[in-house]
Amino acid sequence: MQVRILSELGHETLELAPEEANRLITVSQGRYFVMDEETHGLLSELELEPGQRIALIPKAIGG
Amino acid sequence: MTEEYTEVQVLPTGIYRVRYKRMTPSQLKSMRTRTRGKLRKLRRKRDYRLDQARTLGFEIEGLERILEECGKPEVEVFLERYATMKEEAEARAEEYLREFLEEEGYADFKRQGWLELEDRNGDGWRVYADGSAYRWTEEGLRGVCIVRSRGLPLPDHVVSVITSIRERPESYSR
Repeated sequence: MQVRILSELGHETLELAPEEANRLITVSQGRYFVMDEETHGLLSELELEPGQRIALIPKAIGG
Repeated sequence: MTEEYTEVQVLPTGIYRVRYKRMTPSQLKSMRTRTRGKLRKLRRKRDYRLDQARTLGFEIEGLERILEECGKPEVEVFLERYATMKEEAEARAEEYLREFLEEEGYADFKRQGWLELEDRNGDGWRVYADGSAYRWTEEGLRGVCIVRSRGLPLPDHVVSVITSIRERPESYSR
């Protein structure tokens, strides 16, 4: 599956297995929203599938 | 947050090599200052060696060429490459913002400079093109402080702000 990360280095795009993507998201400790690139909907439960394209969008800090 | 930078190492031969690393902005600043100092020192050494070579009757042209190739151009090439990389990142981010705002109207957003949106509770917000956010209250628009991550391209920051407001407005209600 394709994982796009919005970060200071531009859009890093990684080709990962769903398990690897899950691990990446877990390691990032809730710093990102996980968005399905096809539907533009956020994924609240991580049920990632092969071939899926997702984007990790950083959560804005403030208050 | 880290940035890519170049470090110049002066080798005993007088030639220097360039390494790429990732460091924080303050470390990067400090490293750039040190790099400038190293370069000055190296140029002095290069001029001295050229004088020596001339005295000893070496082939000056070849030596000058080699020293020039190992000298200043590498750092300048890196800085150019870094600037290009940042520009490319901005362009990719802008393209992503265009896709992201396809339904809301990217063109309108760019023309008027802001986007009206609703959070998941139905409350109204306005997000400006510079990434600043305002909440509609009974008194009118009220600014909300949202910090832009260092180094994050502006279009990506806008995507981040819009998504964050929609999904967790309670975090920005004060």
